[in-house]
Amino acid sequence: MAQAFSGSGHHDTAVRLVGASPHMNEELTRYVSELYQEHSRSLFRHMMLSGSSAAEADDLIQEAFLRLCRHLGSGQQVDNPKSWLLRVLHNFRIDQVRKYKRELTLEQPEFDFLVSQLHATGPDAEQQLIADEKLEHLQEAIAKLTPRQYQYLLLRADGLKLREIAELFRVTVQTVSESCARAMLELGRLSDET
Amino acid sequence: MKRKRWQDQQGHPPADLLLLHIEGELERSDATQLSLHLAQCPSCRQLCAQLELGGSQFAAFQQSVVLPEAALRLGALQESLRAAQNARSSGSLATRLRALFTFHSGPRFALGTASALIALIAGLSWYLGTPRQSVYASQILADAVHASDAMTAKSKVLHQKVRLQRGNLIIERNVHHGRSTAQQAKEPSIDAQFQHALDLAHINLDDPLNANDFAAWRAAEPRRNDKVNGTAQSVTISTRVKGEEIAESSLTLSRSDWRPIARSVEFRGETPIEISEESYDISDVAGSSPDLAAHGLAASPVPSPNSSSATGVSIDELETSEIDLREALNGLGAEASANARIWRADDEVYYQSDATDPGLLQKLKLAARSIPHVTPGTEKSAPLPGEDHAVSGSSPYPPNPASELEARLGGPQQAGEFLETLRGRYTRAIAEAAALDKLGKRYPLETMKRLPPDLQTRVNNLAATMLSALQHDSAEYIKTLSPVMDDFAQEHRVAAAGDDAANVPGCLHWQENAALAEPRLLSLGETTSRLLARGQTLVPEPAETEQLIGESLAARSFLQRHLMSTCQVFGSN
Repeated sequence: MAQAFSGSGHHDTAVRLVGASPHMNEELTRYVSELYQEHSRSLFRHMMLSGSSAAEADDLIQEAFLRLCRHLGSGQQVDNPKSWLLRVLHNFRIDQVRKYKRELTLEQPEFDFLVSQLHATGPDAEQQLIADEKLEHLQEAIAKLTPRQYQYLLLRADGLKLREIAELFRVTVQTVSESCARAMLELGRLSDET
Repeated sequence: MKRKRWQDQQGHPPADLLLLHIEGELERSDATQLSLHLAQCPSCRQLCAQLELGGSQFAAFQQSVVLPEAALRLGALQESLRAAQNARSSGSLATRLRALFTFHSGPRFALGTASALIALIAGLSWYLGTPRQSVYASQILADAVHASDAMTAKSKVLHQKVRLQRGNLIIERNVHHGRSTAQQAKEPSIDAQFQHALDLAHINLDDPLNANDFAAWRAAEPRRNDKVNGTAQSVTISTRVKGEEIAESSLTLSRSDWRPIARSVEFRGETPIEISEESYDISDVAGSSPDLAAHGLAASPVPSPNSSSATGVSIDELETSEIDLREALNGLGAEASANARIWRADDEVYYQSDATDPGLLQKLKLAARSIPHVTPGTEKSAPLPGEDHAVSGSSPYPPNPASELEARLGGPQQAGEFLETLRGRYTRAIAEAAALDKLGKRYPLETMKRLPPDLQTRVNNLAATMLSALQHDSAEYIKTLSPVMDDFAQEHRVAAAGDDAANVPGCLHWQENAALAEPRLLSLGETTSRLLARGQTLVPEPAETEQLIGESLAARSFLQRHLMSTCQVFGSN
């Protein structure tokens, strides 16, 4: 990690530019590039599962990293870069929804396409069948989630705290927690049945 | 998050509250209340397990979807970043110029405009150049000098063991800041040239790490360029100068107390000087000994009631050092993977490990060097409680796949791979269990009660981290083993272990859980390995097989229901 930033060596800790000045620009570019290499794949996966097209996800991710660079360059602190980027990307998605009047979450055809791509692997044909069957049940259960439940669980699975999700959707933590708990219990029951 | 309601009409917490508890988003008081409830309520523990399972199901879905590979466009991003930075600099200049010209638009203001433009350019280059860093460096140095004065005012003495190196020459000094110190004898090997270099850099050999001396050197350099870099633990001021002999000098300060911890001086065409802190200690003035200091020996405060021996290191200091070391070893993963041992002798904390990886060894050495009273050891004397505990790192699983297993998994290769995975997961889980058990025996409840509250919290946090690793590794091991074990049970018609009270002892302190986990894991490893090995003998002994299956199921059930439960008590009473 660049020496010019405070942090303890990995990218999930607080980072802040110490004394912004032109000679720091190169350090900043290097640091943001390291973050890009570390997180861009999982952010791309998140955006695709949120209903973005591959091209749209790619553009938005580039824009989010540029914004992160500007934010750090102005001397502001980022406690957890991945969470910060997820929040920015979520807000980009909301802008897209307003612009194109689309759903925030996956629309049914996109969802159907994604679940048809569920990939199960087993050591042999019999195990493959069992794995396929389990995934089919999982697919059905996830299809029954409400759009909000799906978004909450997706953000949670990507590492956002329930409190952060609540702030993002401008609802209370209890709302997020209730919604997630209902969905998780359903998915947990599914595992008992299979 | 603070919760006003936490019980439904039946007296159970609702699922959303349990989820907040699992996610660690409840306030401490609510979390404690909920932990107590969970300790007594199997149905709520079951609900917690179901929530966790649901979360992992969703994660499985998320990871199973096959998506197009993200095209990494790092080059494009870097180009955009540089363009944005350039645009920002030139953009701000252009904006200011535009504003200036708009204001002074008439010809009669031409001269004023030109003057203002020059002033603006000069101002901007000042703003964007080094003075901003310079001001920051001065502030940090002032803070360091102030912190040193404040320590003296509080009648505290900072004892530092300092190492100075120039080429092959190494000098070690014990320095005592905060009281008058008798002059230490100069090293006989220092020649006039070295002394000249020290004088140029304002380095006093009796106190080589002194913020005041660095500040004095820096102030005496009229043409300097400062740079301030930081990490979570330290801040470094690097000052480049245009002088003929010194090119650059830097001072590194600890963020925690602005104590100087390193200094370096680069000369033009000569060997640099590197100075670093080896260890440090802070004591009261009354406890320091000027006579010893005069001979360059460590200060020996008068033993207080809390002192462990005549050398004056208090028990709390040693406890803190030991816990610092345990945290550092845990952070490096050395407690379990490298079988690190810790013991105390002569007011020092010693450690030894079986690590063979040079990278890990180097990290261990660096981590230990920064902790006071910690020394690498090679010979154990008076082991601490729990440290004489032998760690069972070897796996009981047979090296060759059993014939029965081969038949089940479809061939010798599959059976071999299965056993390899099982062996690896078992080894990790048992090493984690042994490390946690060692910690539990070192800090039993009685010892915990005697520790200061902050150290209690640190030991509990360390235990929670280790327990979490143990839970994860045990779950992986059991997940691998279970399909085969369930097949055995079904075939031999052995029922799963009962859910009686003895099998599920309820909510226990982590020390008690640690003591129970290792023997159960060992038992599970031994019984299943005997089961798998029996297939090779081709001698059917149904009664013994059934007994082994029964024991395996009981051990697994215990680990699943108890060790992996969310119900764990961390505290001292």
